[in-house]
Amino acid sequence: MSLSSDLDKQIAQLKRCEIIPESAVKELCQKAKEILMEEGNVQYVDSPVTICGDIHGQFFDMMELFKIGGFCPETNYIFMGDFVDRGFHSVETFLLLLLLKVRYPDRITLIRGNHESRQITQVYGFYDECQRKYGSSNVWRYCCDVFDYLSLGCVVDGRVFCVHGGLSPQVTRLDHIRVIDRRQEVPHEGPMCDLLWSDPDDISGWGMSPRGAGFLFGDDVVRQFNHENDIELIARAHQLVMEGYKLMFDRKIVTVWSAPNYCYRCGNTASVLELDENLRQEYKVFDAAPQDARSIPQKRPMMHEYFL
Amino acid sequence: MLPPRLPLQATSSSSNGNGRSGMIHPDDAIRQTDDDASSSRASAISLGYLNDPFSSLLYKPNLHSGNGSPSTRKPPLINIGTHHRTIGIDTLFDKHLKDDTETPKQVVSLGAGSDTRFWRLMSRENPPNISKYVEIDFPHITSVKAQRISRSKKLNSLFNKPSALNHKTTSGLPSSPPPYRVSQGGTRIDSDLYTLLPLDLRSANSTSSTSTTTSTTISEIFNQHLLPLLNPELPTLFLAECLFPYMLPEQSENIIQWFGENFSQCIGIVYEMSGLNDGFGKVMKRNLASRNLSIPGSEPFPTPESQAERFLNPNLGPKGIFDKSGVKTLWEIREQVIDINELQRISKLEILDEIEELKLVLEHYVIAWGVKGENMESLGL
Repeated sequence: MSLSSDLDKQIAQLKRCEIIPESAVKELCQKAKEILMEEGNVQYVDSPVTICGDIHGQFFDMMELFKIGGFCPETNYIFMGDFVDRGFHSVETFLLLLLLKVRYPDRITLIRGNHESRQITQVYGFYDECQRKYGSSNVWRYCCDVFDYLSLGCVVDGRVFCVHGGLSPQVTRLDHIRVIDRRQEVPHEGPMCDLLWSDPDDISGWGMSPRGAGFLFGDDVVRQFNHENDIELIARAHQLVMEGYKLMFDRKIVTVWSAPNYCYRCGNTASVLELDENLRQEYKVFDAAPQDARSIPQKRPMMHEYFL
Repeated sequence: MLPPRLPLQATSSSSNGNGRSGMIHPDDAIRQTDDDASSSRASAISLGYLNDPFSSLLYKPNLHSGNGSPSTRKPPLINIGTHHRTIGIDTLFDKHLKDDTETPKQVVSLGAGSDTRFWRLMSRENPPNISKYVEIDFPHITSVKAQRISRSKKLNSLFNKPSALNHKTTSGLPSSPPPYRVSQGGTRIDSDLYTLLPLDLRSANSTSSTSTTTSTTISEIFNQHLLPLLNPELPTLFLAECLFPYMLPEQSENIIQWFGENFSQCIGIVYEMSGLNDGFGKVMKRNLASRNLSIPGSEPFPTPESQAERFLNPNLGPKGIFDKSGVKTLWEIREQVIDINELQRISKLEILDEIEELKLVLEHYVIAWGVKGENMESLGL
């Protein structure tokens, strides 16, 4: 059996939200690492491309995303991290994205979010889900090893900078990202941490983040960064926005959020950002997949929780 | 010492002739909400958000939910919200119970579930001056609570006034009659200080003109079962923590009215969800419906302000209406009420990854209060 037909079979299986055996995951992660190893901390991407924000294991909602955005490889994709945690299907979500990456390396770019971390996934569900679905933490360990190889950002046509969280006081030029040794667990501070954790805010300069990691950064910081690096737009994810996307600072930065009805609780819409070959922006908004029996597993983990 | 464990049917059709039918309400879904609150509480305690040595005595986690995974641990957002809810209500309690006069205070907790507040208060080094603390809930819930109280010296010893001596023999049996009485088929506990009262308020008629023979009004139920336990002259606090949403709006109005009419000095505290007309609220109603929970009592309160106004509603009548009311969302309690050092302390317990979601959720829960009578107007958050 050839490699690509093998992968196609696994992709078809994952599209049905069925997991592949542990041995296949191990092999997949190994191949993914080999591909990701060759990618830069800031990967170059050509337009046209569709940019997606947080998915958080909401597998059936990601299928909605592909329905409105087109499937890979017909559509080129950038996923800006936070593939896992929170939702019911982090395993299936991440494995499908990884399979697409290995099958079509030039068609899909995966960058790291703050949840692609050993520490965070032990609190927010991915670790427990791997234990539940595979009976051990092996799959979680294989996936975490892949996380360490994910790019920290990418640039579309040299003009649109994509990053999970935002900017860092230690990164005024894209070159400053290129010198980071990214093959590590997300640190608690420093430029790598900031890129994955920071948020834009209506302040000037830099501020303390209420998240306890990264920084808040203002209009002036974005203006300066974009000017210095000849960037026209920063596309980032990381923050829930009820309308699916939010442009700020005179359209110099946008938050793209791709998890509709986040945590099956928030009632928000989601979006993807389509950039055509002229980098014209089109935001496509979508709602959650219909809640059928299939999308909510019987043994459901911490979900639907309210203060009752 | 243990009360006889009676079948539920017998427990419910209590034999003291309280006039209510022996019907069992098919409201398991609502009873289950006590498990939500208690398991959230247990999680927050185990992670250090709250300090509560009594929770594990009154609540045993439901083990069937687990499959090896840590089923007691809740997501950080739930732990934080549970912490804020507890601090918010505790703060109002402390203001009510503050010992600035010689006057003892009274407390009525409606839908108390496995709440531990009474024991947390009375185990303090300087317990507040409370003359009566009444907890009310479904008989099915009070029967479990009564049993756990009876089994635990740590719980039932606090029914003694702090000054009372505690005699014990080596056999462990009390040498004198216990300081409390279990009755009504093991669903009720009475002591001088504390009463656990089994009542199903949802079965009450919401209008005063009863046409049927079996149903009675809230007011009649309270007059018969609750009023004899209390002194109308004393400042009295009532708490409805996640209770009114499951009742009809007229029923909760009747409850507020009854307290207003019967106690010249009163503070009412309501904690529940609010503002459910937006996307979040619609999803909440849908998610709760999938658990067979409906919240008709939330419909008339689409904003936090409307929760405060329920205490000033002219329908409460000239005697039942409160003088003043207020409301804060859990988010506002986080921002304005909780000490910054405490927020910093709990921020170190777990990594909170998102603020937007936390704000969205906390903005949909409120603590509202209404006060009436002399020396009560300063109570609030």
